[in-house]
Amino acid sequence: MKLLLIPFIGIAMTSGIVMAENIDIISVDKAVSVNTTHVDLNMNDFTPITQSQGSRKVVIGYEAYIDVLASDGIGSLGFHGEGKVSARWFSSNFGLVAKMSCSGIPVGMSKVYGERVNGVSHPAAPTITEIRHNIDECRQIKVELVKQGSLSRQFYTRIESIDFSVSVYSNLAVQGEI
Amino acid sequence: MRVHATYLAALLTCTTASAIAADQVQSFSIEEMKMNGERYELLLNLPLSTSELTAVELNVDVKGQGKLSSVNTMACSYMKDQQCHGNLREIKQSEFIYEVALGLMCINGDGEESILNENHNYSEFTNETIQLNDTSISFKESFIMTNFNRCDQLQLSIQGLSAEAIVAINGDITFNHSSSQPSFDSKGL
Repeated sequence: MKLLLIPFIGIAMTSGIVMAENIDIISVDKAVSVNTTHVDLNMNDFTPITQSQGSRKVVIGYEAYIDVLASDGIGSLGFHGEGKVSARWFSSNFGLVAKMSCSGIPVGMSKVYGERVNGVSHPAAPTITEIRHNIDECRQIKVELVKQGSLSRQFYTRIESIDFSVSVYSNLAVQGEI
Repeated sequence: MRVHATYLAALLTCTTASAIAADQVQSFSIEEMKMNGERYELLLNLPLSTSELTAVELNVDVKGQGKLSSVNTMACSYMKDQQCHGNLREIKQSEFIYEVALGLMCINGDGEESILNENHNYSEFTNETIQLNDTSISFKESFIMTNFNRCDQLQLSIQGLSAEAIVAINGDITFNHSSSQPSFDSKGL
């Protein structure tokens, strides 16, 4: 079953890379297969989350959707997401909340900070590791990265790069099995 | 030979004793701290013998109540092109966060200088029921101060962010000038 999935994943990921070249994309055609692969997302894979302030739209964060393959009939899933988010140097002291959910079911969150120390910017590094039981449906993971603070603070914080990887596991009871 | 061995043992004992004596530990709790707005503050006296280079270890446990928000929201199981292509169903989403900021400042006649600023948090984002018990956050910081003898006092400040209530603070700070102290590491299972 896993072997059959691999070509499909390859096509899906290739498709994602091709689409990622277009900055105007509004959905990402990336997929992660349970127990098999992890997906690496970058800035181009995320869509801005905006909020209106008068006549302009403020980017308050970014979101990405990842298809989950081979999750049917699995009651318990383990999720891992980690990455780095950098802001432009002038706004690199910033707070960020990363959230993951699967088909609307909340998975986990991580509140982190990017900071600038002695003239060097350090990215915010969110990490989410969770197990969820009794999941009846998990077809698509949503990753949300939301800037913290007031709307004007969110406007001022300019995210310049995102690197985030996601993986999903189901064999929770047989870890270590060869 | 026997005298020699006794002398060596005495010398070792003295060395160990002086190394231990170089460690100066101050313990503190919330009862000794003063409220300044929403911040708990404590002035820490410096050891009598100070030197240019001082190793500082700060351990603080902050127990308090986090902020819980819970909503029932309509969630789509599969989105494509910003439209729902899956099942639309009501899902409970609970969010819990307990976050504490710790600061340490050097205070002298010229003013204040920040030494340490750390934020730690505990968070949950789940569809499960969250019990609202006290949550504990630990800070374990160690650093070298190069301008130790320029500080008259150190000021420790602890603040719960997002207006969370802090119910207990316990900690200690260790100053060490010795170059021969062993390091102790511990790891939980």
